[in-house]
Amino acid sequence: MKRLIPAFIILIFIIVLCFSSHILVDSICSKTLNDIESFYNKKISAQDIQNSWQKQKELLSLFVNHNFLDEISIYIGQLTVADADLKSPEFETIYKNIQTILYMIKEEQRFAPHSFY
Amino acid sequence: MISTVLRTIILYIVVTLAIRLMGKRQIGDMQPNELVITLLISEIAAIPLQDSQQPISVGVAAILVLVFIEIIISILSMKSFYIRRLLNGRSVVIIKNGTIDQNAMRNVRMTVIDLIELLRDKDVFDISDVAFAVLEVNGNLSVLLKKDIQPVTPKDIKLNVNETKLPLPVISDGKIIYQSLKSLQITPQKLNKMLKHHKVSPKEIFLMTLDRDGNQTIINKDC
Repeated sequence: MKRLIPAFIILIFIIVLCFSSHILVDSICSKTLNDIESFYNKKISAQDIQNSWQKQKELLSLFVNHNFLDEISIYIGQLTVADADLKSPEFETIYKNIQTILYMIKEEQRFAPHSFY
Repeated sequence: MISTVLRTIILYIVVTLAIRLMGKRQIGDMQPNELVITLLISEIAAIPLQDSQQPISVGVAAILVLVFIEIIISILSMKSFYIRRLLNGRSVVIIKNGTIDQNAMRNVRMTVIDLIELLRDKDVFDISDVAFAVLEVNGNLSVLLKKDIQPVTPKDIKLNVNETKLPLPVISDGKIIYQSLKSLQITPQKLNKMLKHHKVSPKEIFLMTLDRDGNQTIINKDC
């Protein structure tokens, strides 16, 4: 039975890691999308989004492919250009791109049957 | 570059701990499931090292899951003879009294060349010298030479020799192996009589071997 103790500790660690990563990724993705919508509604500036993203990126990098995070960083950086004219098609493109990447990140974390294949 | 060095150190520690938790065994002594898990761990550990864009936690989590599976399987294998046989297979007698069991060789997909090489590795150059050759689940060949070929043989001192009997494990870790009893044509009642004679119960025995002549070896559990 002594051998069960490390197995039990590992099991707890894996469960905590799975749930915490799922909750963390989900909340950060939602927050980022909300920030961009607030930016669109002129509640916050592009700089605020950038600052907030830089903090969250560090946490996300523990669980998410870094390529996704780098892409989002680039798009958020481009928001400052779109800052002048929110109604421009450029903003729409940036927003859609960020939305797509965040959706992909969420999908990667989500438990779904098609993830097995 | 620094991140690569740090990642390598972290993964080295994780893999070392993982292998340590699974127990010490040389690659040649590994059971099939142990070998699979070891190969998988080494492959998984290489992914975050090769691709710096992959988060290290993914590799660590996968390694920990494999260690967890290995510990559970090893515990189940210790508890159940059937699970052990299902996962690891069973040893196969390839040579009986100098005669190759061709069906057994076909079943384990072993060629005559393979067999001869394995015998040579055991310093056996003549198949007819072999009383029993058993292909173990880890791929090793255990060879029992005929008594008259063994280093100090009864033949040397001009004694009549009995036919070599293969001792089989009949009790392992407190559990009776009924298949061995069947092979030895011994009933459980007869085994119980033998145990009563030694004043032990099966649960107290770590290993008991028996051959067709009734020669037995009993090793009691430490505690």
